[in-house]
Amino acid sequence: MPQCDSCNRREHHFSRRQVLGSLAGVAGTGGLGMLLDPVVAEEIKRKNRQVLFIWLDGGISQLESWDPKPASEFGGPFRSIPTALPGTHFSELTPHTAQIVDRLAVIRSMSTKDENHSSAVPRVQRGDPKNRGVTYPFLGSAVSHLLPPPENQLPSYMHVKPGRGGYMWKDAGFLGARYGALGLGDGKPPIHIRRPPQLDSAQAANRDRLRRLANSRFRQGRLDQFIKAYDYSYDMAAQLGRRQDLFDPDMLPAADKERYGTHPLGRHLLQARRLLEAGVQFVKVTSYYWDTHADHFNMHRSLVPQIDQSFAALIRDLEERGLLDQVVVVLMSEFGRTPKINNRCGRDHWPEAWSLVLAGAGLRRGVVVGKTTANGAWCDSDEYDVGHLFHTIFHCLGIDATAQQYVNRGQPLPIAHEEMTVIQEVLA
Amino acid sequence: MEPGNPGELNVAKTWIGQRLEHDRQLYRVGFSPCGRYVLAAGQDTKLICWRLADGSKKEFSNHASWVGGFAFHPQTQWVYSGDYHGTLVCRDFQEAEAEPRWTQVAAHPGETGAPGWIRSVCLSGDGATVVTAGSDRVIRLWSSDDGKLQRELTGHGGDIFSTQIHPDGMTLVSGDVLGQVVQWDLATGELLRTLDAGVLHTREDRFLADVGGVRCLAFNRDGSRLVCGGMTDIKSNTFCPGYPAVLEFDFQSGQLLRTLRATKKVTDDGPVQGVRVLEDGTVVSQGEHLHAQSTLEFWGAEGEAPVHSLPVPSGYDLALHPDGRRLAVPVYKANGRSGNGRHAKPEEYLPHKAEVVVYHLYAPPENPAAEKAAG
Repeated sequence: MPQCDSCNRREHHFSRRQVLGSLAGVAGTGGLGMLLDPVVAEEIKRKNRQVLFIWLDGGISQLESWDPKPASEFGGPFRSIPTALPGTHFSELTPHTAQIVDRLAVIRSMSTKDENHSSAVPRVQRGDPKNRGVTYPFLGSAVSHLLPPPENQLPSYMHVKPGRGGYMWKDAGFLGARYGALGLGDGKPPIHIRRPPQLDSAQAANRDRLRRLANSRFRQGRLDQFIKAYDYSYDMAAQLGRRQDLFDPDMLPAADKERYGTHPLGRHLLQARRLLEAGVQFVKVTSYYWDTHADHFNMHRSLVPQIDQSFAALIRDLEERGLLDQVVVVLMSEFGRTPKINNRCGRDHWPEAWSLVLAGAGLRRGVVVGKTTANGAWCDSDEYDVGHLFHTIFHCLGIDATAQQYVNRGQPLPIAHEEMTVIQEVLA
Repeated sequence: MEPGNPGELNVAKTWIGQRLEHDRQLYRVGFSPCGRYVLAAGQDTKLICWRLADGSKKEFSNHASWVGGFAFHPQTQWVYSGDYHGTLVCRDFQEAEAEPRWTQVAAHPGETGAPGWIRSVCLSGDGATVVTAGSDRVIRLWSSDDGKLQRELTGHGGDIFSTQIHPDGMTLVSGDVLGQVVQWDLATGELLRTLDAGVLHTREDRFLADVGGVRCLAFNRDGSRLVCGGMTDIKSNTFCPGYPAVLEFDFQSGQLLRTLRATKKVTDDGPVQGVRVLEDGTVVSQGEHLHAQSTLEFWGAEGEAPVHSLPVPSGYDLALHPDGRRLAVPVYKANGRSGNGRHAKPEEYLPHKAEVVVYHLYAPPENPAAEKAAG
């Protein structure tokens, strides 16, 4: 029996055929949104929604980025600079993002539970659900499960990361390996997706038939979800093999490379833009080594400009391409960094009061939500947990997290923390 | 208490003469040329001045950010301090109420996405020229009298952490994050040569930043040897753990003579943040610790084994008194816990503190109040 093959996703109730049938019925009679069943119209609209999830692993310092406290007891040596939003200041390390804050929604009063990476990373990326005795999916897996699959024949969840790539099935939790992430090591496609030059198409087709035959034999007596995951990963590779243009660095304008930066974050966010343009539903970009327990100010002086430059370039590009109305952008870490400066001139982990940045579909533009105390240590307004964030992201994708549920082995499970709701102030 | 008559240099008898407390962490320290004062600076944007005779304290607030370096005029009461906003200030260090003599705002202007930090300040031997260096990779020479810019020296490929004037008074060396030590002629501004201390820098593909660098520099008395402090073999850009090291060069030939390691071979500790050479050629260094205590380490003029080692708190600089018998180190003093999470109520969540510890490098007087250094 599949571990989780059922849920009350609307895609089950409104198949592609139904939707197309509805479209045919109203063709030529006016705007779809007005004439279609509103639920179906919403379904179509929702199909275009995408997510860019930028994860600065280890914890970017809120004080050296989106919530500076210059000249305070914990403020550090950096200045703050005015932004495009009157009255709002960012750290001087973020001059590019400061210019585009009128496209962003900044939350300065995140307050979460975990002060350790091992617990905070999965907890935050799984939406901090209550303990239900199951492993919840990471956001990318959740979205690729909850949203209808895109029609572009590309993997719905792709993860651009440093180091190795490969299929990251653990992301999917109880949803099953089918909803895992395709990891693109250094933004490059998986190895072996190119057909060997000595193999012609007929030979390749024969080889594939043999593979399917072997798979059907292999399937016997094994859990279906794993077989599906194997099939899915193979199909993904085959699809990607037909879209190798997405990974060809020579097809990128030199000016774009310069605007994003040649450092890994720049290259990876530029690759993310290509994937979003191609229609990939959920693109995650991870940058490691933000955990600056020592020499923090020298390190953040090097690190923060890298995300500042590439993030601002990406937001501008998404806006120019009309994608900012379609893509939900999230820029965050598992927590912030301690206001208190330790004995190595470093900052440690601080979940008490930290910041993140949102932009794009369904979100207000040019808003700063929440505030911290004068020394930056504590929230001084309503606090938001990651459950609030998941409700908000789902809402922007057209998913009502208060009404929709997972069903795992017959057990209904909330898709976001049921005691939390959307962060209204950031919604458009 | 200030000793009236320092004894014969004997580092094995090192003892703590004074502990000068401050309520914020301090990262820079220096003795005045007259030897009667010690100044320090750190997180709270002030210059702190203690009179060694009685420990009395004055504070000068002329900066808007942390002071990255300061230096004294050799003949006057002027001190020159540069901060992390790129501002250079000249003021009297004995008159707390006096206005600065001059101020150069944006002496090191920031570039896009990176502020213009001044990290190091020194003066030419005759006191006529102030040297500043920092994150813009440019060395600037200023008239110590009126603060006018005299010259800009370019040639570093990375942030400059340290500067030092040769005993000849007109030769400058500067060390950067990439481990390059550049020698300059102050009179002409000519870049004379580069010494390779690249082992003090680490950059791996997975790092997002250059880590390490030449954190401190010092000459021996006749200028024949140059020592550079830092760490080698750095494992990441998060905890920045490395193998503390002091490199000693023959300054004439540029040849690396010794790589000096601490008694306890800790290969994942912080960098050497302060280094000096005593009159007999003894090299002394102060480390910034990562896990436990750091050490004040002494090596003789020859050989690579330390001749003495004192366990000390994490320290960030090292100054040598004009009498050659005292050292000052700004050290970390915990004020509540560090580490992940809050560990305190909001009203109890306070910055860590500091002490400037003054070490005496000779046998302690027969005074029961004198505090002997541990170890």
